[in-house]
Amino acid sequence: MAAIDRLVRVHLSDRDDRQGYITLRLSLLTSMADTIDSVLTVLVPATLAITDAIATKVSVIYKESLDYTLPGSGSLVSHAALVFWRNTDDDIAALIIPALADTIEYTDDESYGVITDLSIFDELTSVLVDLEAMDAQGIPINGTVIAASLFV
Amino acid sequence: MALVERSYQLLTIQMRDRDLNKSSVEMRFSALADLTDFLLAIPTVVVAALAGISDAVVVGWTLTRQAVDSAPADPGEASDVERKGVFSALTDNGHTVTVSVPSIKNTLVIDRTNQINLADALVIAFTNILDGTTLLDTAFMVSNRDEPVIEVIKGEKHHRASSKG
Repeated sequence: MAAIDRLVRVHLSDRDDRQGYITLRLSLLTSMADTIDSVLTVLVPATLAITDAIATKVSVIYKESLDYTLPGSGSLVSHAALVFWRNTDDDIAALIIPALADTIEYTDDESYGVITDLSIFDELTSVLVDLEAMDAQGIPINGTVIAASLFV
Repeated sequence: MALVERSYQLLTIQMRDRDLNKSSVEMRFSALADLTDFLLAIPTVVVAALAGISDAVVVGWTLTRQAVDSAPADPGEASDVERKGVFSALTDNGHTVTVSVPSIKNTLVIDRTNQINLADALVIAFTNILDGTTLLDTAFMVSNRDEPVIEVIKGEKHHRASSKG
């Protein structure tokens, strides 16, 4: 946990639409909602009192850089998978997974391939359902994978 | 308008391939019952699940919660983010840390100097956040060595390119 950076950032904009920001590093991990509430009620007013710019965005950021070794020669992030889930509300959630493993089989159909064995996404689905994840548009991922294809 | 808090956290998992090309997976989370457990789950559970279907490696992740003003007011004519107030502070171990405030008001700069008036009430209200505990009851500002910031010692007006923030 010590390697996780805990940052608060206030984004400011000036008359010429140029951007700047203030960044503070925090001591503890707390609720992100509580932290942003404190930033909005304490830090932002104190900042706006001493700057001529306007606040356009406030971010509370936790981030971690992981140790890694260079992947094998077959890895290519543009060789991605587009995966679709149908959720319990009958909505369709989607994620793009970079560098689809070259061991995964798909049909060679013109410019894209359909991934035939959807069970390869079972572990990922289980993890995302447990964590109550949503896709980037906010659609819950709480169902099963209904389709996946190569997305280059 | 005003800053409006978004109701979700955005998780971005950064990945890299053999040729160092970058890509990412993005997903949202509306509620985090236990933040500490969730942060532990990212590198262990989520990254492990991705590793099973991707040939790229996960090099890092960010979890972000935001408040955004979608229709901000026009900034005043005097605003200029390249005119920064640079506050220097000491940590409890004697190291220094700086915080830059874009477009610092010229009225807070002592005439004929580039020094920011640390005795001004508006400046004090801001520096109290840097070297005090007013930002949060339980969290306070630290350096990149995780050392608590204990005292703001200097404030100066600098001009720096906006591309550097």
